[in-house]
Amino acid sequence: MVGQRAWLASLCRRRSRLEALALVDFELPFRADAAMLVDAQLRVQLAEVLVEVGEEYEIDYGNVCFALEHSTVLLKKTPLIAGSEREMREHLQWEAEQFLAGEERDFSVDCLLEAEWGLFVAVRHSALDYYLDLGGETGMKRVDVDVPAFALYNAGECAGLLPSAERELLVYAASDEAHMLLVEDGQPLQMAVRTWDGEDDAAEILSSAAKRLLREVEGGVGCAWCAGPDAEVWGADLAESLDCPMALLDPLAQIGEEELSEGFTPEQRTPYAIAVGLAQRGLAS
Amino acid sequence: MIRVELVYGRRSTWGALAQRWGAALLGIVSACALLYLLPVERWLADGRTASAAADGALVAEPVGGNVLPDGDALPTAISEPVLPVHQELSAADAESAAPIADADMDAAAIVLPPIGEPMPVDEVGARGEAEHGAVPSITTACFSAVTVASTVPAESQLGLVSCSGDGRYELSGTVKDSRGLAAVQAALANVLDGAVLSSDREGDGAIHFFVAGRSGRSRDVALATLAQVQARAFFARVEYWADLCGIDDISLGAVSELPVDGQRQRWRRRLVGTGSYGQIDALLSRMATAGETAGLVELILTPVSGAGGRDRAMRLSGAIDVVVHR
Repeated sequence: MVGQRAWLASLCRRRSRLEALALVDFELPFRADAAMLVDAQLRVQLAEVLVEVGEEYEIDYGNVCFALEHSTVLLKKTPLIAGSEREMREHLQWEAEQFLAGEERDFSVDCLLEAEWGLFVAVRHSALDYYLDLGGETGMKRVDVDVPAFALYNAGECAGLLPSAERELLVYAASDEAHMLLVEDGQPLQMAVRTWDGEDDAAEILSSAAKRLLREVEGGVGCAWCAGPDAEVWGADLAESLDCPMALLDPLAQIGEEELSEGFTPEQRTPYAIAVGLAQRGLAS
Repeated sequence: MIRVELVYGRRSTWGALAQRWGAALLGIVSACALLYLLPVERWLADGRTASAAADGALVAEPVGGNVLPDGDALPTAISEPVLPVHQELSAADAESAAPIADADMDAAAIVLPPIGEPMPVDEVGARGEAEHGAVPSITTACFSAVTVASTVPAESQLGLVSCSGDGRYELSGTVKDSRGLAAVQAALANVLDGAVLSSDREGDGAIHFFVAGRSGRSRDVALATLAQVQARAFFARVEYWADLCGIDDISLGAVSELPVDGQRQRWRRRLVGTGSYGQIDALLSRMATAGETAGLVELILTPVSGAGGRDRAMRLSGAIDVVVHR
């Protein structure tokens, strides 16, 4: 859900082959943000919309994964200490506790451990509960959540597109929001979220944000993977400003065109990148 | 696949269920054994049965695995700020660092500050920790943070000063025009080696600047290995010094134990407080006199009021390391 739009992907795997059961792009009655999650009435309205969409497209809500609203997530990267994995996780937990307002038990914290650094992700339990409430009100059996940028990467990886270069930039932009992930050798290196309003120059904002991300590393990126509505347009501008090739992230690249609806081009599939990444996570769980 | 487990925890669902039921079963067996072995009346009189059960329930609660029956009864609202320290500076940094549109973040930012901004790589102890088993040494660079910060011309609005364990400084803020930008560059070139400045123009015409460089007046200090009692005494002294220097809202976080080798470990605690440039400088000067006893592996200063000049209030967040015998 970005702004007032939502993208829903329903996938299944039959005999190790991925099948897209439904890809639905629909309008929400209000802006999907953290305030919407908190308001019980709005949550009920959103649940009604999801139920309607589910009935219309015969979607099985047995195992659902939501993209976390960006303002509910804390991500912090920190160098790792020497020690066992348990010690490193404990250290990251400690680091997280230093930055979180409230008691440790108020937060759900998990971390990614790479060779030299770790990335911890923290979300308030109450925020997770709102997603679980939404799932409950919609009749979803199992509800999970993921960070949008991670889902974007997972979509590209499951589609066999990533990793393709030593260093890559993944960008998903839709409506008034963009998610960026800088990846090195398949490991997340840095992330960014940008929002803007109608009067702003989105292309300039994307370019500036991407350059700021790249400031963390020496040299440029091998490829800018772009996804989202009109990604082929803004992606070209972004790649030009970064002086790197641009590629459209088609989350369903591994599914033959003949298996999808006629005329469903990569340009039309790319807005579903995060939704497909979330569904891929569900398939893997 | 990049995967973090936030709802179901870092274990399989079956594992979680098994652990949950295992804990419940263990609790029941323990309670039966206690009731059998001890006089029930005494427990009831003390009212301890209830509290023990409550504690057990807290521990056994899975990580957000269940929908709470009543949303209103949630212990904390989503609108509470996630970050007391770092997010505030991230938000401050983002606000000033953001290109045109980000100066007015969307409504969601009111609910919670945007968290996905480009995050500076936290370099807490990056050097020392990468070298497994090496004698921990820390630069004295962070003790000069106020000197570096006060070098920035008064006309500019400083948003963030951070210093990491390897002596790298990062400063960001806003200036009105290109003349102000040149003044910032010239001033910081005097105190930082290899200072690199970058800038973005914001929507209101102001210019956001970001400067990175290394302290030119620092040295590396090899930390001495202390007895644990000495380390505790040192941290108590730091808290006393902070109070003495007039730092407000002092908080010394819990100890994080970081292994150095078989015989030694680092103890890291985070000191947070609020004070003026003068008060913070006084505290840092006192800490610098500790020499090889302790090191400052990270220091972050962020303004907490709009007032300019050297007397404005700054929030201080510093990670202090000592090395102790295991």
